[in-house]
Amino acid sequence: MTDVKIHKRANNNESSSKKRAKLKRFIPIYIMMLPGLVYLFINNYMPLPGLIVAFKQYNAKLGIYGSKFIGFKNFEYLFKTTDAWVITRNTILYNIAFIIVNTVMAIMVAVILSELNGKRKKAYQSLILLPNLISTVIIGYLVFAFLSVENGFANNTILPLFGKEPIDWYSEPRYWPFIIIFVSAWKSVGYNCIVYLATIMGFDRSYYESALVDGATRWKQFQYITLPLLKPTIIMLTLMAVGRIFYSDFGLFYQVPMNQGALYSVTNTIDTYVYRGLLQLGNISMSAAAGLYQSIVGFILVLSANMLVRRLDKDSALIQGGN
Amino acid sequence: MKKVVALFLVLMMIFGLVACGKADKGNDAGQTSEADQGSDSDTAGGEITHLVMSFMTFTGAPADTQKVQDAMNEILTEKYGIEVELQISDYASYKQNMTLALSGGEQIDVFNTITTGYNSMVQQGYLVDLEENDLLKNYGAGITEAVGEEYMNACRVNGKLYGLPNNRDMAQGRGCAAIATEYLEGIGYTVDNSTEIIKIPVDELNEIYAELHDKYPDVEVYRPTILSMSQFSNVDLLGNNAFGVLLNYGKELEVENLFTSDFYKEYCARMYDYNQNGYISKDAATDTTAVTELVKAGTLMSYTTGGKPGIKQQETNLCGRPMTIFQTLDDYVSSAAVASFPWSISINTVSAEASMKLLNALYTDPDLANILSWGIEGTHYKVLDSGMSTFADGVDATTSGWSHNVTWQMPNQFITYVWEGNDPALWENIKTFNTNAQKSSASGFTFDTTNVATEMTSVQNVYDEYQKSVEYGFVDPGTGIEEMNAKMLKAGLDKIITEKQTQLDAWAAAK
Repeated sequence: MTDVKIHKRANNNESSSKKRAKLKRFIPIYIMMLPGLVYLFINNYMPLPGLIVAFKQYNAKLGIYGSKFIGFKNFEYLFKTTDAWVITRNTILYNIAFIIVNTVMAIMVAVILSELNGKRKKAYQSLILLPNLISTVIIGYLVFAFLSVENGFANNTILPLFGKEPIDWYSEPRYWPFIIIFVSAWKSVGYNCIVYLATIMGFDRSYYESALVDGATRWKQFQYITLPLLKPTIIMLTLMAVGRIFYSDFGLFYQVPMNQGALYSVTNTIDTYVYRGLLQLGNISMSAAAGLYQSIVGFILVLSANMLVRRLDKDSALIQGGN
Repeated sequence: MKKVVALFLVLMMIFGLVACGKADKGNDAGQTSEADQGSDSDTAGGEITHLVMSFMTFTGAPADTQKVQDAMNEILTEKYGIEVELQISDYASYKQNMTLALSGGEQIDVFNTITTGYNSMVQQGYLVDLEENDLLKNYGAGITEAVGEEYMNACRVNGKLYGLPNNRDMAQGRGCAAIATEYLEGIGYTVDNSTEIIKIPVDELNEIYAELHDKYPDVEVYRPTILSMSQFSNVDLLGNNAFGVLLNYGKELEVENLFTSDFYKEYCARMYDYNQNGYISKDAATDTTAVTELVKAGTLMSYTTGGKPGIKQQETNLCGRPMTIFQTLDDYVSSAAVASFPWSISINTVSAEASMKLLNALYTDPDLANILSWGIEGTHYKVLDSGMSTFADGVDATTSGWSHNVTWQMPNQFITYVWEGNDPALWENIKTFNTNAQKSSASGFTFDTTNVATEMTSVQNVYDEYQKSVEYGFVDPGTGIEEMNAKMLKAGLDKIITEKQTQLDAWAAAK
């Protein structure tokens, strides 16, 4: 009995001194981490108690903590309206479509770019990235140049070519799901493909060389080498996108359809709804309520998506969890 | 090599942090030294209070803001022991800047409540009660005198005064259409040049439009804007929203649903006709170019505007071609007109007394008012022999460092020079215009949205969805209005109307 105990203690001593040594070795790294942590604490954690304003009837004279507590009343407007269903549906369905379409497009472009080399590659990459650098307001007008009813390129040049009648683009909701998904892909593909391209460039070329020796076609190489190696990256980026599934790109849904009332049934998302509703009222508490709601749903979605991934493929999950 | 780079980066970071700290200190030092200088020059030897004053222009702070500020301070420090710092934002970001500054506890002493919503500022507690501790009585007696008791009372919210109305056109000529004169001449219409605003019935206006369209089929006849409906109506938008209004120039205190009223049906039907006749561009709902710009470009002939003395000159300047103004309805002072953008003192003020003194000076001192409106004499403007002002020699609207076009926002433009090109008696004309106009019986009523915030948000969203298609005449009003109204009722329009009526009754009883 005692023997065992002594042995255990010795073991403990040994491991704690090991730990200490480890800590010593990592001190410089921790110090390097410090500015980031301090920033994170000040910027992301210190304002957290302020979230309580979502449950208050805010009055500047009384301050955030002194204002009257009104429970969940500030959240009511998000659910009470007839539009609650429409805005939730739009936000989630569009984001799912974006995740799928944009990921497929980004991988496609990344693979094609990786096959090119030299100057051509740089030129193509910059050109594809360009739309991402343009302000959404300007993109809105680019789209308008195409779709303007009287002077637009679509109604005056493209449609007559096919002998079709002009279309009232900005008052016909049925075209807009496609237009918005198209614009989103056009805008973001250049940026999204960068991560994939960088990952592909990092692959060991010997895989491809031996595949060539075995007589694998380009498609087979893509199918059996590129795609499996890309999987962790795809899962990571998708998980991050899922976390933002309850947020929408405000500019894309507000500026690109030119804030047209007739298109609200397919362009109204949580962000545009909150913006329009509160623009008049300027109510800080209700805005905070919307933000808090989005964050909580986003948090739950990330955790559950991660859980799902962990069950299917443990190594690819972002948060590894206990067991 | 790596070590050198790392060292360099670390040094950069440390330097950056130190520089930040220093810059802040530097600013503070600058401010105190400025204040010191101020007190040196102050012969009375009293302490100089540094105040921050905010308002908006359409393009942000003019180039010569600092010079104008210095010129104001020359007078202010000597006479009033105040030093002012001007913080000017552009129209689009003013509201956001003010909300952020006020909720963030930044020093703002005196500011104009334009675009921020006077009422919502009051409800969120950002404004100082101006009569607390006899503030107005002791330090701002000249303001009441300059503006008049009646207008002051119109700014009261629940009996308390949080804002001071500015002297400007309170009334609005309703049902006004501006038409470019050259097209009118083209159809052989003889323009009556003896009056600034020509009164005609709406049928005659429709006939003019029909003739214009026949003669110039390629030019857009009329372009509605988001404000057109209220400008072309006798409706009083209580609390500045269309959900529960007073009809018929607000003669009766009866809150009604605008969207089931005969007026609204007739208005939308007229727009629908315009659209069917091809008067309105199919891009009208999407194109956000200002109507005056369209007229300037020669693609539009007419639009709706709010009438007032000086309107003809104003629209002619904006459009770059002579305009003729027609009016089909009466002049009207709506319930919200007086209190739409009063001057206020924020709760973040360093001294409410000094702020009130500053406001009092701006309302009563012609020298200060002229600097604020027109800039520095000799640099930005000069006074003609006729007693009117115009650009200083070698300066015009584009090169002047202080030509902001928001003189109507300033506390008291009635004590400033009249700009050349206007009637020399412009200020008198505006005063008469205000007095002679019909007045809403709810003048001064403000709507507290606290109890119906949820409904307001929902109904506003429905209105945004339908407003342009219905009010620009893109859909048949028969079905369009009904659909919108049904959806609004579902979103709680009734509750807003009932709440408005309750508050209006209580307001009337307290009065």
